[in-house]
Amino acid sequence: MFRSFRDFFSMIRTALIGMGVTLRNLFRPAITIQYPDEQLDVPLGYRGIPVLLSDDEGNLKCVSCELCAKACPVNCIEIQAHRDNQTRKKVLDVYNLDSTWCMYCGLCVEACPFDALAMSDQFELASYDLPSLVYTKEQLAEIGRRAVTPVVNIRETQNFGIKTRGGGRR
Amino acid sequence: MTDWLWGLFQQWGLGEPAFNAFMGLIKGVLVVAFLAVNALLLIYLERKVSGYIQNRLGPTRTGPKGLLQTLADAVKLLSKEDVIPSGADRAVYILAPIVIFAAATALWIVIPFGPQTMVQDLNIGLIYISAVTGLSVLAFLMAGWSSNNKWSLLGSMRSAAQLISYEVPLVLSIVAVGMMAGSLRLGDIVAAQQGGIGNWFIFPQILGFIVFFTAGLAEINRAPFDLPEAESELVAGFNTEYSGFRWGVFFVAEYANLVAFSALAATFFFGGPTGPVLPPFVWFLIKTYFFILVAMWIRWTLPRIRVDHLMNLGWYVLIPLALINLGWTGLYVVLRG
Amino acid sequence: MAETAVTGTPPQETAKPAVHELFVNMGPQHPSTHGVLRVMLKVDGERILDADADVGYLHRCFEKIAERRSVTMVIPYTDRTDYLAAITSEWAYVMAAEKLLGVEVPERAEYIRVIVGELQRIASHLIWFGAFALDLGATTAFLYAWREREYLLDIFQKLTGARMLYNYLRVGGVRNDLYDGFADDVHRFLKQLEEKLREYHDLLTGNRIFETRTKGIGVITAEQAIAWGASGPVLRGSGVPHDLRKAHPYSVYDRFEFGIPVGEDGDVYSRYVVRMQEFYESMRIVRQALRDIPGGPWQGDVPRRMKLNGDVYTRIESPRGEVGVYLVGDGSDTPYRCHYRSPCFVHLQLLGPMGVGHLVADMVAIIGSIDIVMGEVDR
Repeated sequence: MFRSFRDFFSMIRTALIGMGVTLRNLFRPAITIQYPDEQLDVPLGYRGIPVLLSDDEGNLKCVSCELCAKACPVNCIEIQAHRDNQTRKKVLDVYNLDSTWCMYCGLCVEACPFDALAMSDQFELASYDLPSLVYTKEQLAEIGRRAVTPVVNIRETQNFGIKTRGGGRR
Repeated sequence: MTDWLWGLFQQWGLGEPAFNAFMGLIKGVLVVAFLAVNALLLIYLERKVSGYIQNRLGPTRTGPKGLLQTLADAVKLLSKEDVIPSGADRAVYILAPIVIFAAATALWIVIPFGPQTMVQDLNIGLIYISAVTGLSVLAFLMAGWSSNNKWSLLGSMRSAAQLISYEVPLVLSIVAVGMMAGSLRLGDIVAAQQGGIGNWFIFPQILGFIVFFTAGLAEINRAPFDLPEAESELVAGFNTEYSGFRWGVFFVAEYANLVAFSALAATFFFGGPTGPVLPPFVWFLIKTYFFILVAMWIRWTLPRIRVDHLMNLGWYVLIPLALINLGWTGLYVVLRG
Repeated sequence: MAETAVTGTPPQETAKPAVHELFVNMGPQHPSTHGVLRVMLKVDGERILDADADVGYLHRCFEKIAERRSVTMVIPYTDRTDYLAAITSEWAYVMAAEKLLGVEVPERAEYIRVIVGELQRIASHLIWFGAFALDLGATTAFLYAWREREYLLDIFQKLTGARMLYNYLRVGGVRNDLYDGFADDVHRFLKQLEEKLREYHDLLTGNRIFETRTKGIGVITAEQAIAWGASGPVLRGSGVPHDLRKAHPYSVYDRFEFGIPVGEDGDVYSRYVVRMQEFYESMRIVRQALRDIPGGPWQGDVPRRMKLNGDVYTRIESPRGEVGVYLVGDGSDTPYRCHYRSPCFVHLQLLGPMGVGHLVADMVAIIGSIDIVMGEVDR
């Protein structure tokens, strides 16, 4: 019974120590970032949605080699292309990225030999309807054109993402 | 005001019983309104306090500084579907929230807002308090049993064991307060502590206060004694199956009990509504809210105690302590003369 | 009376003529089963007579998926097995592939792996600390732990581009080099963590209620732990100083100085203490690695088509225990068979021996103390 008493009072004593900790924290400033109003800076190399990049003239760099589609573990990239009879070059017709399947692993970007693909910093991809989550060639290219930092390749340096200007919401 | 009303009643040819009934109704409405406002405030306060303790902000979006958050939640709860499980004992299931709310409100009849301001200054106030606090066990048992859910049943059984064993030290510590004041009337207890801090019961009754505070926290199911609804163990305990408005009533009753407990602690040991300069009601609120904040502070610090340790604590520590305190109080009262 | 004091040992089950058994499903929807674990409890009142874990609610066919993908394509999937310690699950798989292919890993890559692996251990233990505290009802400690973890995840985000599912390790190295200022970030974080750990100890470790909730609960002896195949902190909590980083050093772990925290009683509290100590050991390793890290490439030479031949079993010490990958190749670039050994799956079988005789509330503490991640259990 005396042990019980001792326990009870040590319970109170240790509780007071713990309450001291919580009291100290009570007066510390909150660390909350009030998300839609204030946003954390997204670091370069962040793996948001993969986007198509364009060259200086505004044409897509993609040559429809389909290496990204082959590297994708979840087969979320759909590519259709036809060969132009005059230039003998492949022309990209369809480039659909199903962002509901995409797991943002970045393997497609690593597979791309022409730096035509990059992970963007766009993460606000929520949508009210399912079909709009399948990103088309034009949409991906549009986000890619907003890039303010140039894409850099993984094989040469550490970062291989882009920073874009403006929101990713459509 | 009262005289004027009494005159009005006499004019209408209504006797004293009708007048008393009318006054009782008004007072009852006032108490319920006080409880409702307090519950709204306290839920907001709890969120803010827990938020700041955890380096968060708490509610900020609804209304200025998030003040309307509780109101928004109340509207949400009211507009939810009223789900009653098909296997539930309907009558008991529906009755349980009513009983707990009645028990929580009934306690407020004797709590003094001012030196003589209370709904009814019963001459058996302390006995009334100990009787009414025991009533909430019934509601917990009803809720747990009628839900037809094993977790609810476990929760209600826990609450029965907990409340019954903590009733004893609680009552014993209250008895010591009654001995100090020489009266069971709460008005007299407040009057006995008038005239400065030196007359507060906390100093001779420090042991009694520790027992009262610990047992009281257990009695109102506050963490670390929130075993009947321990969410990480029993899902939600006795109110697992409750949703919408019925759950909201349980929630409000919990906070009403918290206010009542804090008010009682202030009344019994800290002079209640007495104090200089400020009006008594303000002193009452200051002291009550101090204990409410302490209870919140404890809740957001400590881990939950286990059920068998809780019983051991009650029977092996608190009851002996309360008995020692009772003996000491008797000695003190005799020596004081 | 003294025997059943507030801190007393759980009363032993005595033979009763009629036991009123109640069958209770704890989970798969339960606040403290850490996901979708279902524990089938047979209880008498609140005393547990029998406990059995039912798994499989989160089964995602990881092993079968691995048979149909090339080695690199599987790495993002390994992240999703143990999602709280993605680096270590990647590591086991990548090591297996490297052994099958005979790929040399550059030294810098090994150091980077050790650094992120140990940081991952800290992140995972922070989650465990928080969830364990939450299971015991201490909500605030939970949020404190998450606060620190967020800072660590920021570092991971800068390094790998993702916060939880990194896809960072590659066959023959790592995906990218450390960024400039990585060491400063980590040092700052570790310093901060040391301060906060002191707070955690004040808040929880010394707390009497916490002690009574954890001491003497869920005891397994060293013999039992070995017999059931336990590993990691569960094994070390029972007093067996077995750590794969020391016993079978992989990567460059043999170059660092660190201790293996060992518990004494094999109860929930011992496992708690072991993990809390591992924070400090991990910090030591990270600091040494950051000091000694050599320059050079971070990616070794890898054959263009990874043809897997033969079979190999690799194992590493994850925050939860021994993660093993058994990889069989048949000459193609996809594994013929990939088996993933999950420590939590093994530990879950211990719920019965640990829990019987205790209360339902203790079962929550026990589940918290073995630190399960259902994604890893069900794979």
